[in-house]
Amino acid sequence: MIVLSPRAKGGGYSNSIYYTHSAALRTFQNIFGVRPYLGDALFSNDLSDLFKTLQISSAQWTKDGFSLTVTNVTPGKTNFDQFSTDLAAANWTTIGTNVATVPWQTITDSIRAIPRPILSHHRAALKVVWRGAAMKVKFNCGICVLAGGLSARMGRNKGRLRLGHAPCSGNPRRGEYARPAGAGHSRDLVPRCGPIGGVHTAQKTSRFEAELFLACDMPFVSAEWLAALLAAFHRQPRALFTAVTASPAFPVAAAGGFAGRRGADFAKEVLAPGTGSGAARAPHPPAARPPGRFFNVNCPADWQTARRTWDARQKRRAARRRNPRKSGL
Amino acid sequence: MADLSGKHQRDQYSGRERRQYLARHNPFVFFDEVRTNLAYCTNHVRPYTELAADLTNNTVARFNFLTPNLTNDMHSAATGGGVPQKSFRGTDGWAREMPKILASSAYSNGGAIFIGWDESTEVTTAHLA
Repeated sequence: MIVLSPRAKGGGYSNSIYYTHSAALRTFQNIFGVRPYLGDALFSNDLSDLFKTLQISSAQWTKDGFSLTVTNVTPGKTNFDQFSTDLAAANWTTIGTNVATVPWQTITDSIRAIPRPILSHHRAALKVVWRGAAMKVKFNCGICVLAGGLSARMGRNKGRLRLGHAPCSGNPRRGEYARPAGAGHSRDLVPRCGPIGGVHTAQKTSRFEAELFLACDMPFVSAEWLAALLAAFHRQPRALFTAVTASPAFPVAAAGGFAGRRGADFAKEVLAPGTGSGAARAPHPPAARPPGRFFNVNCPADWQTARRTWDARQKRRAARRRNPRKSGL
Repeated sequence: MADLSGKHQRDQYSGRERRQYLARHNPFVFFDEVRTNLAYCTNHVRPYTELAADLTNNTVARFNFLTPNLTNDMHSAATGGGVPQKSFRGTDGWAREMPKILASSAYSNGGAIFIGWDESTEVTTAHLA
C-alpha cells in the first residue's frame, strides 16, 4: 500500500505494520463515517499510522480566552472550538470557529461564551474539532470540586455552604470526597485520606487529560489564577499546587486519567511512605504566589468573614453596573 | 453501499478496448445495490476518461475507485489477452496519470490516494489488480 496525501507523513515514511485489504476498507469507513465495519474490517487495524496526527502542542487559559496551538491542521479548513459539561456526543456547544491559514495554528476563543457557574464550579471540558477532516482532536480538562469533608471545626457541612452559585451539585454527605458537580459525586476509593483521597478517586475515574481540583470552602479563587495554573500545567504536565503559605493548598492542577502518558498517580506522587493520611507534602516546587485572595472557610467566624466579603463585592458590582463611569470603568 | 451513495467509482484505466475490461477488477458491480439497479450502476461506474474533466472542474466525487484494465494490471503477458510487457505499461501508466490527480484541488485540499496491490507477498511481485 502506498499512500499519497497532503495529510500523509510523507518523506518516504514506511512501517512494518501488517496490513490487509481490510485495513484499507476500515480506513475508508473511518474517513466517510460508515458503520458497521464490513466483514474483516471489524477486526482489522487501519492505515492511520501513515498519516500525520493532529496534535495540540500547547493549550492554555489566557485572560481573554482559551488558546490552543495545533500542528498538522489543514489550511483553509474551518475549526470549531466546542464546550461540553459531560462529554456526551450530542451535548457540545460551539464557542468559536477558526479558519486555519498555516499548518501550525494558534487559535484563541473567548471563554465568555461558557456559562460562568459552569466554568468555575462544574466539571467541564473543551475540545477542538476539525470538520471536513476525518480526524478529531480533543483537549479535555476536568474540574473537580472537593467537598464533603468532616467539617469538624465548621460544625456544619461545608459542601452545602453557598455564596451565590452552589459549589457542587446535589447535597454531599460528610465523609465523601471528589464530587464533581454535574457528574454526580463519588465515594472515595480509599476512605479517610482527606482531600488527597478525593484527588486520588477523581484521577482514577477521570476521563480527562487534566484535572483542576477546587476546594468547596475557597469561594474567592479567581478565574485568572485558575487560568494561570492550567497554563503552567500545560507547559510542564506535573502536579501543581497553589502556594499561599509554605504548605501546598488548593486549587491544584494535576493529570487526569484520560491520557495514559500523563496518567501519573497523584496520590503516589504526593503521599510519602508511611504518612497514609491527608498529610501531604509538595512533590515539586509549588507554583508561584498567586494573586487575589485565597480565603479558606474553616470555622463559623471564617464563614461570617466570607459572607461579608461576598456582600461587599456584590454591592460594588451593582454600583459599577449602575454607574460604570464613576467607578472608573 | 447504501451509505456511500453519491460517491462515484470509476473503472477502466484505459477504456480503448472493451475486452480489456473485467468485472473482477471492479468490486462494486458485485453489490446488489449496483447489480440490480441499472441507473445507479451506469451513473456511478464510469469510464476513466471522464475523471480528467472532473479533476479540472473540481467536481470529483468523494470516493473514486480506479482500477486498471488487462493491459495495465501488471500481470504477466502470457495470460488474460492483454498486450505484451504490460507490467511496464502498468507502472508507466500510473506515472503518466498520477500527476493529473496530484495537481488537482481535490487532492491538495485534504485528499488522499491509496494505491493498493494484491496477489503478493512482497512488493516486488505485486499486481495492481
